[in-house]
This record gives sequence, structure tokens and C-alpha cells, in this order.
Amino acid sequence: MNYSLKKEHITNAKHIALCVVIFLILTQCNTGNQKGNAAKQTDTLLKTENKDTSLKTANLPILTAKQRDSLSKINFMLPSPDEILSEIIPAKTAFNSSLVNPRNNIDSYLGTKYQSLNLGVYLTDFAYLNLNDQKNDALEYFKTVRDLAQKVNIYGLFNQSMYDRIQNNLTRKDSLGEISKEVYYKMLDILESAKRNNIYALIASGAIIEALYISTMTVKNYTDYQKIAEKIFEQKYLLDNFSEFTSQFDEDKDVRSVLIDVIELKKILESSPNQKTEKKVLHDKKDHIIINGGEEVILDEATFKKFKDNIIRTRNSITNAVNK
Amino acid sequence: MMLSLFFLLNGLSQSCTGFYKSSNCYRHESKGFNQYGQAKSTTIELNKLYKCQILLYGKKDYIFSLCTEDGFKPLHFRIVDKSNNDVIYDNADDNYNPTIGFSMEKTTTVTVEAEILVEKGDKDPNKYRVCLGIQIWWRKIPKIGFD
Repeated sequence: MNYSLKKEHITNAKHIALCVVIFLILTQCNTGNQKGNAAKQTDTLLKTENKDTSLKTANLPILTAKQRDSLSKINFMLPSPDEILSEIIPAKTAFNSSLVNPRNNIDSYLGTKYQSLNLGVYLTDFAYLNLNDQKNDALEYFKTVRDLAQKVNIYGLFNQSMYDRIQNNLTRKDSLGEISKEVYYKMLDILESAKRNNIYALIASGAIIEALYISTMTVKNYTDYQKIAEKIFEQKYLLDNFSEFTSQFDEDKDVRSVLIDVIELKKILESSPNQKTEKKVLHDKKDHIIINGGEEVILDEATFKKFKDNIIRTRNSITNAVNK
Repeated sequence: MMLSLFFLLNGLSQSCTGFYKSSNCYRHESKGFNQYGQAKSTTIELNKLYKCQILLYGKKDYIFSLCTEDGFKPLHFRIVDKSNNDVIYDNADDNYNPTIGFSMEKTTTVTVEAEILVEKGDKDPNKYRVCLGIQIWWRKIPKIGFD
């Protein structure tokens, strides 16, 4: 993209925007963006209603103002559901349709908390279906994602062109994977720009929990699926980054309740023994380095079973939420 | 209303969406690599540090390419290992090279710190907000030899 050219467009756009704003002032227009206002109102309501005043009673560390300030200066990048699933589950692993959350559950999610969490769940299901070439189901799940996104007031993403792109790429697995990633990141960008970080945290929580649930359920027999198990143990880093990111918004009651579950899952994975070797950074050629060493996870069946029980319980508490 | 106008114009001038995919960040060495989802575009101020935390899965090759809009140099960046705060790479020691590739054996969280350095009297840092692209490509470490 030519950004110099883009700047000219921006200058023109500024003039147009200026005219539009002057017009709005003159006409005292009251018909602003109702959807945006609805989103703002919902979140303001959420912030007021959900502000947790019982922080001391919950089993979570309370961040100091300094820690909160320090975290707010870091931008946390999180892998998409598509990337998490691809990292853990080998390409030839059999698809299991019973693992995705049935689409008709959508009607039972009435509150913002469960709508947001299950939006994350369905985003991961959409990615899982794409990765396994379940084209028709993927399209249906995309519609579910769109419907639920509208319920939590996320607009501007699910337009006709996006829908057309999916239909035109149904035969191209890689393209669908890219679209799946794009939908996820654009949605989070929209929420971040609108300062709706509590909703962001809930959607990302649902997505990560569902990805770990699907991955864990793929391990039918611990002995035969050790590679997948090893990858699951490595997700403690993901949960660590994610809990750090989410802890900034823990004054929101809904975020806080999910954060407790995420930290519990992280603690289980961290309780597994590991072997540390010194990290070494080697410059082997121009513009290239090798980073050797670090932490090696030692697989432990008891820990894996504990994690599996916990992720099933956590995931089902999200997807089986009725009229909450 | 004036506040709305300010934010609207400010927002328009800061649209950096997709900047990391621009030719400024492109490197031909990325051929055969995949786009990493955690690549990012953002807006930064001159002489102000931008920090982001990225999870890099193990047993992979990565290429990092950081770029900014034309005319804003040098772009200083460091990649720091979160587990021990060791600096994995600092492009100030490498003539502000915008690209680095690395092979990562174990899954690691890194912090990328980036800053556009401007000397006094060059540009007024308060006047500029510039696009920053953090482009990341990855591939599985290719197998060498026999299994």
C-alpha cells in the first residue's frame, strides 16, 4: 500500500469529515450512531454493575497501581485460535464433530458475559472446522459468530464482502484459515480501539479455553498422544501471557471470574516438573541467530488428567450457561 | 462537538491498519514462510518507547521485520527474553538493521521494544505520530539429515 498516497486521501477525508461535523453541529443532529451508543451504554452499564468491590475476598493477587500502570504500557499479542489449534493438534488428527459447541445454544446466552465468552468459543469452533475442511459447517458457524457479535454490539466487520470472501474461498483451506485469523484479530482491534477491553478479555478467554478444550479432548489415550500432551503443557506460556493481560481489567466482575479459572488452569500446567537448560544465543550468520536451551516440560500423566478434568469443567460452565 | 471533531481528524490521520503488510516491512527472505498472527501495526510517537509482548512457539524459524514510514530514522528495536530479561537482539549493535531472523528451540515469550530516535533540532517529536509495523513470519525448522 502506498502510504504517501494514503496521506493525500486522508487530507481529503479530513475536509469531508470537517464538513460532516459542521453539518452535524448546525442541524443539532440527534441521530448519531445508535449502535455505537448502544455499545457504549451497555459497556458503561457493565462497568458500573460489574465493578467488583470484594477484591480482597477473591483468591487472586491484587495488582498495585504501579503494576497496573506497568502492564498498561505493554501491548499483549495473543495467538489466534487457528494458531493455537495448529500448534497443538497435528494435521492428520481425526476430526471430532462432537467437540464444537452446538449452534443452537446461541439462544440460551442472554447476558453480555456469556454472549462474549461464547463468541470466543464459536470463533475457535469456526477455526477448528476450517482446519478440518468442514466447509459447510464452517460457513454456518461463521453466521453464528456474526449473530453473536451483533448481540455484543460489534459492528463493521461482518459485511457482505467478508461473507462473499468466505464463500469464494470455501475450497481453499489456507485462505479460510487466513480469514479465520483476520476475523479474530479485527474483532479484537475493534474492541481495543473502542476501549471495550472487558469484552475483549471475555472473548479471548472463551476462544483460548475452547482451543485448549478441543486440543485436550483430542488426547484419547495419554500414552499414544504424548506429542499433543507436550504441546498442551507448553500452553502455560500462553495462559501466563493471557492472565497478565487480563489482570489489568480484573475490576470487572465477569472478567475476574474467568481470570480465576484461567489462573487455575495455568497453575496446573506449571505444577508439572520441568528441566531447565541454560539459554544460549548464537549468531550463526548475518541477520540470523539461534536460541538454544530453555525449559523442557517433563510429561506427567496425573497433571494432564487434572488439567483435562479442569478444562472440561471450565469450558462446560461457559457453553452450558442457560439464561445467565 | 469540537472534541468529536478533534478525535475524528486525529483518528483519520492515524490509520495504520495493515501497515506491517506494506512494502516498508516486506523482506524477500520471507519467501516460504507463513505470516504470524501476532504481527502488528500501531501508531507511535517519536522518541517514545513502544513495548509489546509476543509468544513464540518453539521448534520454529522466525523473521522479524520492523518498519516505519519513510523519513523517520533510525528505528531502534530490541527483542528481550521475558523469562530472564536477557536481550536476544539489539539492532543498535547492528547498525539499526531492521530485520533479524532466528531459530527458536523452546517456546518463549519475548518483549519487543521499539522507538524512533530523533535528535534535538531535527524534527519536533510532539508534531508527529508515525505508523510502526512489526511484521513476523514463521516456518517449522526444516529437518536436516535422516530421521
